[in-house]
Amino acid sequence: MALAINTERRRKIGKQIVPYLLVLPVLFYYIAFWARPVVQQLVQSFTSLEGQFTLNNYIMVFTDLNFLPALRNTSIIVVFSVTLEFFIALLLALLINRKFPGSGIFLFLTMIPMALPAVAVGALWKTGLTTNGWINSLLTYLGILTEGGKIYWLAGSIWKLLALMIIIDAWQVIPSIMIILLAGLQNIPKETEEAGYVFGGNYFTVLRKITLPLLSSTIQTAVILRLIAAIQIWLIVIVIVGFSRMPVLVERIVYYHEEVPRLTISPAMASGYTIIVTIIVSIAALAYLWVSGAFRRKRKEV
Amino acid sequence: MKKFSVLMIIALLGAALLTACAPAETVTVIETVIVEKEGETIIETVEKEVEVPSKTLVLDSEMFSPPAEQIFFIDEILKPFEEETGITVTFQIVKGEDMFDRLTAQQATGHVTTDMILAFNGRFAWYTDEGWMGSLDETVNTWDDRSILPAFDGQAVVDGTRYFVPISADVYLTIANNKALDYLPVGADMDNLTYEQYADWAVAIAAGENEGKVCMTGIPMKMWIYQFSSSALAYGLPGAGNPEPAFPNLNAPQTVKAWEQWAKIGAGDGFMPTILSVDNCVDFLMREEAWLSVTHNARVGQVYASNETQFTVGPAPMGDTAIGSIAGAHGLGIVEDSANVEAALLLLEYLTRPEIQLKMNKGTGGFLPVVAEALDYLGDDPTDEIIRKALIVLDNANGSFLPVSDFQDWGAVKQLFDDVFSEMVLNGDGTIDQALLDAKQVALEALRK
Repeated sequence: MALAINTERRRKIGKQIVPYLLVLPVLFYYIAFWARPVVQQLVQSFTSLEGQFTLNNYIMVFTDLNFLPALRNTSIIVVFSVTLEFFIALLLALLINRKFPGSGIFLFLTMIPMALPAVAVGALWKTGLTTNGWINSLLTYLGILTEGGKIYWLAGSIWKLLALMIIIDAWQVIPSIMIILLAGLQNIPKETEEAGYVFGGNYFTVLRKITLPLLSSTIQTAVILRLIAAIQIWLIVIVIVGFSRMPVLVERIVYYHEEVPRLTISPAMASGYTIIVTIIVSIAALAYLWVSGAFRRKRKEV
Repeated sequence: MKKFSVLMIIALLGAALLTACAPAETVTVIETVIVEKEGETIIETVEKEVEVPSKTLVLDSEMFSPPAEQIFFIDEILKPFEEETGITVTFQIVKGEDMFDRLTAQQATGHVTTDMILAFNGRFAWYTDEGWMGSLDETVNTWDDRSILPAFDGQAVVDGTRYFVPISADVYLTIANNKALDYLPVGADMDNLTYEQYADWAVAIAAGENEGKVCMTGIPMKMWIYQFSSSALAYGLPGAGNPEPAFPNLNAPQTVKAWEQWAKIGAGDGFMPTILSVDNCVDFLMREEAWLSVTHNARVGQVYASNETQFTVGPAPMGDTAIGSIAGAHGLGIVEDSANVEAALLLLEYLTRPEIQLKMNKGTGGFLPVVAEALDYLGDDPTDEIIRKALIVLDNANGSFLPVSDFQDWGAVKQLFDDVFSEMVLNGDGTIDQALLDAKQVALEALRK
């Protein structure tokens, strides 16, 4: 009898252990290829060239002449780019969700920019934005520019270039946000919206009172993913204006790691910038979740 | 399922065993042999197909990175060598810093997989200082059909021993769209242009066309340092390796004279409006967004060959002493611990043959052959014209090599010149900000090793 109980207990314990065993390889993988480099980077950011503990790496980053411009430029790109992308993506998702004739082709066309890597997007737009590029040619063809008229898209102030970066980034990223929002919209039961109309609501009332609240968790996911990606923008910037002309945070990491790797300060600067970007990304994500009420709901659910 | 898994394991083991036991692969090459016919006294040479063991040679190169150059070098230069010798060349483009890191790792582990390197002459010292390159004297001294131009021996030969053989050189040339010739200052001549005339020309074009047309690389850490420093050398700045002030320099009197000319162009809106997004002048010259540039001879060759009737080419302009030009070269060296030294020497011999030298340097845009005898083969096509102009510069210029290994990071040196361009030349009022130049020079000195 006792033996049967023991066997039963062992079987139960075995059953409980199996999921952990299955997760173990993934856990090892993460420790080796994710946690280890992250911890290593963190340690390096507090280590001097002589191997001693130091805060000097951070002092160097904060006093770097490009730090504040990089922080400012990144913030502007994040705020304007994410806002623009969200509203356009939502509009497109709502439009495609109405399933009008040809909406499938429209969906396909809007998805094309998402398939392009950032470097190709940069090259494509750079070719268009040069003085004799395809954008000016198109504008001339459409009669918007007079024959021989030119717009110098890539000349002028940093603000003009920032606006261009926001537009180019939005062009590439809108499809990915749109597809997440569209998936969310298609998961909303038709009956809930129909009930809204039955009770006298018009399209905008139903959208504001029913659709958007039901879509809020999808919106959270989309915005949080986009927020993180927007903070990490760099490749499009360097394809169009190169390093250091319009500094952004991640571009600074790449600059010290790839462009001037042999400077004695480069490893310290690169690791300092890396940790600062990680902290900013984490704070931005938490702040957004807090503002959007994600934590409040969790507490209510508990 | 079990049976399937067992079968798969057996198949994999079998494949591994077969691979391990496979005989060394051989290839067939045409070999010239001397045959003495029986009963006759005539000795004749015949070509005969023979099987030789296959060999693979790994060549890491920081040259020929543009795709068109790469394709030409692999298809038109390396392929015939492979057919001739049966040696397969694994050609890889690697950035200068990465190539050094790769060799460092190989030397540290004792597992040398790179047989040859094609490096930039400013970086030869990285390898010779470490003692990683084998002497090439024994082979080079036997060559009686070719002579290597001595212009780059300062970096290729160390303490009397040759470790690198330059195979391509580059200097700076002036290129103008023929539409720009209408604005050429009176008395100026493309073959004897001065920087004063160049600056006046640029300003005149801008005034006449209502748009600046001078091209240089405005994107940081590209070629501006070389384009500018060629002008500083023209005003008598000594080349690298001389007592200071010497190239690279930002604030010496000779350098300031050069800055004055560029500042004049900036103040006269002579640069293309979108100059800060230019990373290479080729496309802009071809699209006619730019009409005028002093740039690398291979890039000039690319533009000129695209439509020779549309452009005029001349040597780099003169300052008040001479033509000035950065003169660079790329050279082949053999890694001392390579297991394929004999094959590497064959490739070295092949790439320095005069006819191959010319074919290679012409085919990749108009680089300058470094074997004197190759110049005998020059003809009349557009690229030959570029090579001739480049030779004028190499023979007459106050030149300088790039002392890359004297500085912690060459990219950081380039950045200082880019900063002065955007702060003083492009956005200045045409005057010289000596305080800025002095501050940047201090930063430059701080980068020295």
